[in-house]
Amino acid sequence: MTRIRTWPSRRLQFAIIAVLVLGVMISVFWPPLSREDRAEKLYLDSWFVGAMASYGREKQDAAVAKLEAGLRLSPGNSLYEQALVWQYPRGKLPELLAKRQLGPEASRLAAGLIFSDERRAAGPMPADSDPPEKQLVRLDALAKADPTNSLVYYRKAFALRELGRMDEACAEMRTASSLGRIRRYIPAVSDAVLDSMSSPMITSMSSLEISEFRRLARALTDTANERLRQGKVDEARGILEDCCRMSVNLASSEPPTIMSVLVGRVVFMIAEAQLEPIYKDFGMREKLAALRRLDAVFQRALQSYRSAIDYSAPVNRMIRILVAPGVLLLAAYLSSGLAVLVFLWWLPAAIVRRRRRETALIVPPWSEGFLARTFLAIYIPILAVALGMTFLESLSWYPLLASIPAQLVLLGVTLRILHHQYDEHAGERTGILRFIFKAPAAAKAWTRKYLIAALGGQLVFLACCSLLVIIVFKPVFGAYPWQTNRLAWGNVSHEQAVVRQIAADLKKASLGE
Amino acid sequence: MTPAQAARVDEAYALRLTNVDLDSGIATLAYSYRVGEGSGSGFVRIHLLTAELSAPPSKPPTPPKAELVPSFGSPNTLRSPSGRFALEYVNGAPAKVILRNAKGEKLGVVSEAEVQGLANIVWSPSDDYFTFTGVISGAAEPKSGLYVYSVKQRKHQLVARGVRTVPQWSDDGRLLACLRTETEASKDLPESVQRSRGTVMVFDVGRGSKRVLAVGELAGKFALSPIGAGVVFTELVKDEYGDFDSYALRTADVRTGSVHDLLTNRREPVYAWAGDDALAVTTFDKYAVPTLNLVGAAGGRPTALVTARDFARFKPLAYLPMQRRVVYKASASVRDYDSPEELWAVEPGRRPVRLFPKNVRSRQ
Repeated sequence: MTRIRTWPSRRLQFAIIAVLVLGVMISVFWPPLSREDRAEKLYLDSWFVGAMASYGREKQDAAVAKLEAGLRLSPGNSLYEQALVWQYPRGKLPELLAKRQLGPEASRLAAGLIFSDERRAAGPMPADSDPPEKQLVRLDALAKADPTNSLVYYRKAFALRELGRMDEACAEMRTASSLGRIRRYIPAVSDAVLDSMSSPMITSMSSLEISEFRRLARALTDTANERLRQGKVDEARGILEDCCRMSVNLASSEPPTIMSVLVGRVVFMIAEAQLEPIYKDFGMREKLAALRRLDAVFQRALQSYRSAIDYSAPVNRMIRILVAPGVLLLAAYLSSGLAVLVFLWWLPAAIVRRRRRETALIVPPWSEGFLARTFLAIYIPILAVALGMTFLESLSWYPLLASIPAQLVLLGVTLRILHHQYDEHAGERTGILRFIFKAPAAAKAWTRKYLIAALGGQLVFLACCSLLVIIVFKPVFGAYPWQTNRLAWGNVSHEQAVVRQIAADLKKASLGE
Repeated sequence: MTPAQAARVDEAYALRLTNVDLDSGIATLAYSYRVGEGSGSGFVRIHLLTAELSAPPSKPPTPPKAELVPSFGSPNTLRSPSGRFALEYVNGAPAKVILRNAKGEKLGVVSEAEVQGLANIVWSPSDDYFTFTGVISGAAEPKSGLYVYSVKQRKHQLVARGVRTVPQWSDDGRLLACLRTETEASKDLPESVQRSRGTVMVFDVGRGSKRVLAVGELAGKFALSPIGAGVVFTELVKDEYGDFDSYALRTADVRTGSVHDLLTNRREPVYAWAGDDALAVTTFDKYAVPTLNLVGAAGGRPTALVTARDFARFKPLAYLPMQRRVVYKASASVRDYDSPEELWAVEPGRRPVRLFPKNVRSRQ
């Protein structure tokens, strides 16, 4: 019998495994070289740790510790400071302000969070429980800490509306309109965080704010209507125009979200219903034209949003991103599982034959050809799906482009190993088609040692696939390879880009003074 | 609430008159209120001529004809006006509406397998029919249609396509009015207009649901007169700027089909029938000051009853023909929500009188 050199040799197998393990160690655990990259990694990690902490699976201190470490590496970074304020326990924020000198954006955010009783949690926020008079006192303090944010003055208008002091509420509206900038008390985040955001909830508006803006708009229209009935046309018009400016400020508030555009639209419609008759009845044609332009922009904005944002995209995106590593892992686990099942089917018969002192089965429990056929039957359809996905529009080509060659290499290596085993059994070199479709004419008996080696080889194959997935797809999985939740919602920055364009169009079509 | 407690209420909301007896002038008034830090709701009998408050009837007032709102997991029952029949909505796959008699025996069934999206179920005042809307299945573009179910014949009939709102019955249960939306005239207008404006149609259910009237293309709110001789509706019309931003108040005679233009206003008028041949209508001037008028159903010059700058809206609720007294509610808010309301009454040539609440600082 011609001895067939086993390939891959044991030395080569150990070398490959060692390389893969080293690759995983470096990929997952090796810190970036530059200070900025290390700081950025800590900053990104803190968001995931913070998310896990909100589910009770990590300690809140862990996120804070990462951010403090990041700030030591990159002092004065505004995004890191804002993240630190956001992750810090709310009750201890005054301590943070006392012991740390924060930049203006982080200080503003801290002041806003200290004012608000809102808890940082998924879902609707609870209402601020203080009576309006107390809120006004705190809002005056907040206005000193954050003087350029019109949100403070709108919140003062909310409180004054509750107290029925509509004249003062209108005055606060005028101040807010002159500032023209709503910056909600949510931290700004880097594009990398947005791209990997597991959920857009961090940028969503609270239901409290939505209902307060609507109630304020309704109360203001009633006040304007009252002024109009008293013959004070200019006062009524001014109040309603401030309401329209509020709608534009709301729709273009920071950070941008589609909810703020929708609420802005509702506020605009409430004001427009009263303002348009005034413009028409009193012959204000230029103002009417400006109002119509604004209305047209709002309508176009919503249409463009509907066509740009596809709410089925997160699911499709997740499928596309997961299909590549899923292909590898599925192939590995399925082939292993099938081999184990066939082995279990063969084992009782082998035991019985052994006891009867019959010769060991000539035909192995699974021939290499059978294994190859099974492997191909599972793997080729999965590979076809992966190839098909490359032709679909994708937000990230990297996983698919990297994985297709890897999968083809895996396919070739697996068939090669099996083919060589087959040749060893057959005692001669054979063609690939014979190996796949014909049983060997003569085969050496399977021994227990060989079976253990075959099963061991299957486990090694499984481990290699898993390590390959971690190395190749580690950037997709993020800081921790098992955090697949970041894949669920996809690209929040895309939604923000659409909303920013809407906000820019609204600003251009504003009512003016 | 006792009449004495009701007399101390100084702020009331969501006023609603039920069981109006035009002969005696007594109605049941339902309302919500706030007194100091407290709040609640109640009802009391009120004399619409003298404003006298008396104890509410021992039985609760008959609820208005309400939609049967499907609920998940439990049946809903809608009794006919006389109580002889009941409709039971049973959620499931498919959901169904079961017609039962007073003994609970099943008389008929309408299933969502035949008519999808069953909604807007309304009994006729005479118990002979009930209506519902549903989606016509099998159509290339599904349309919501109005069906009439005959209790006697135990079967339903499609009456009109493109109807998605609650229809109205005339008081004698003979005529049925509904609004067919998404007409040709509205197709270039905003979606909100397409869904709320269309053609008012009236059907005679006694004659096999024959359509006896179809008026308007951008009609909205409508109301049948008490004996069903006419229907009033508002219609969007073009203003001087070429926008569909003005409202025309029109009436149509059911028998002859003739349409009368009563008035046009930039703000949508609020109206109610004052008898069979007149309407109580609130119009607004360019300063949004409301004026309550009486105007004949066939047209003619409106008679102004009351104008008040202190209020944003007047909504007519009832009309006592002997005294020509219009009972209306006045509100300081332009919309129907969470704002104080007052019940007033006025007769031509006389000062208006506040009926409820009694403690409010007197307005003009």
